[in-house]
Amino acid sequence: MRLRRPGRTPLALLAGTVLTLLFPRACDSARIAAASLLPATVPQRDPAPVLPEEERLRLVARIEELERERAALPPSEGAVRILRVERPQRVEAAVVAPVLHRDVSRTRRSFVIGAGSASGVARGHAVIHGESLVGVVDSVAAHSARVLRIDDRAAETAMPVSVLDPKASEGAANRGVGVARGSGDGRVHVGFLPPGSARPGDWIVSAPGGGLVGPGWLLGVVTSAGDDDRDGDFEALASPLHDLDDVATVVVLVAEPVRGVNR
Amino acid sequence: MRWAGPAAVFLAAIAVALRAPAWSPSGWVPELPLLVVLHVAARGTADRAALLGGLLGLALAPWTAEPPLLQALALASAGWLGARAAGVVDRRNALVLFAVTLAASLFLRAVEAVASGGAGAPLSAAITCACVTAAASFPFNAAVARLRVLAPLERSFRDA
Repeated sequence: MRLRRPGRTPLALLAGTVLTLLFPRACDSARIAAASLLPATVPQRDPAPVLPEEERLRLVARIEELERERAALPPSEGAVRILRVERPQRVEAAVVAPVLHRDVSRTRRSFVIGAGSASGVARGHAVIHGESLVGVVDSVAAHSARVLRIDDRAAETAMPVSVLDPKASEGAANRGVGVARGSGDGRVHVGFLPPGSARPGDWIVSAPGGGLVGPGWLLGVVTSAGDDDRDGDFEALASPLHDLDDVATVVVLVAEPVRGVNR
Repeated sequence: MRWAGPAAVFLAAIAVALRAPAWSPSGWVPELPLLVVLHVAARGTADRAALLGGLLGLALAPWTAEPPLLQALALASAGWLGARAAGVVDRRNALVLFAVTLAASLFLRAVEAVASGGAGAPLSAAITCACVTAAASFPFNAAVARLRVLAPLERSFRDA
């Protein structure tokens, strides 16, 4: 097509706009696969050194010993108990994956990881780093996947959450349930909360009903709360536990959908 | 070898765009792809700027959760509109370049915000990025013109 002919360029731009509106998720798998072919733009940490067999067996024995000690402890209270009891039990596997690329767009918060459908990763799976949820798998190729971070403002990251008071005793720990969604600036916005149900220092934890993201995963700590815009909707802002721009390795929790529910 | 310069600038623009989120999430890195497109818009033709913007956007598509053609369309439109806007005044004037670059950068943020249903970048980051990019426009244009690395794309300026 000769673009020099007058009027062709605006027409091409218009056609492209229509195509984008019609197929917003076109070629997702191909795009992720293409991104994974190129060298990682996120600095890769050195892999953990391989332990000698003797040392590995010693550590396994120590872990088993600690597990026995933990089982003998009296039931924990409050928020800690909720975290422990509500952790999803239907996770089939935990896939460790390196973060390969971060999103080039200044309006989106996502990254590409080096694990895909070949490892069992599917859309909607929870992605954690340490003890906290960092994102949700959005689209998948064979050996790579795109993860939407919890601070991305896309609707796909919205999920029901509970506000927990880490210092309260059992029964009073759960302050209320709201809906969390990324604010686009590194924080998580929680809306639809009961009035006065969040205070700085409270924990934001995933609640039942979040699809393949099981309940009990920590999203962040409340930094501010209130109804500043006076619209009757009590809101809270939470900061993730980790600097999400600095995460280099994540774990994907491969889980089975419950009764056909998939995000 | 004629296209070695444009190819090198093309790759450098992509490399900087890939690294920018890590270097400064709050927008202190100028948008090199936009600067390249607007350079061609100022010294080439609107169509070449649009084509270059489209190619740069397509090359960046694998690294973003945006719809696949969005970056390409936004950069192509910015190039085409920038060339048209600069064409009505002195397109090599530093102030014109500053104004066009500032408007184009804010235009890109607006397109992304509309495309994601209002989920745009924080306003402070968008304004910071637009100002930094606009401030870099004249030095960038002067340096690239002096080095003549985009000469094959500038040649058509006389046809504009």
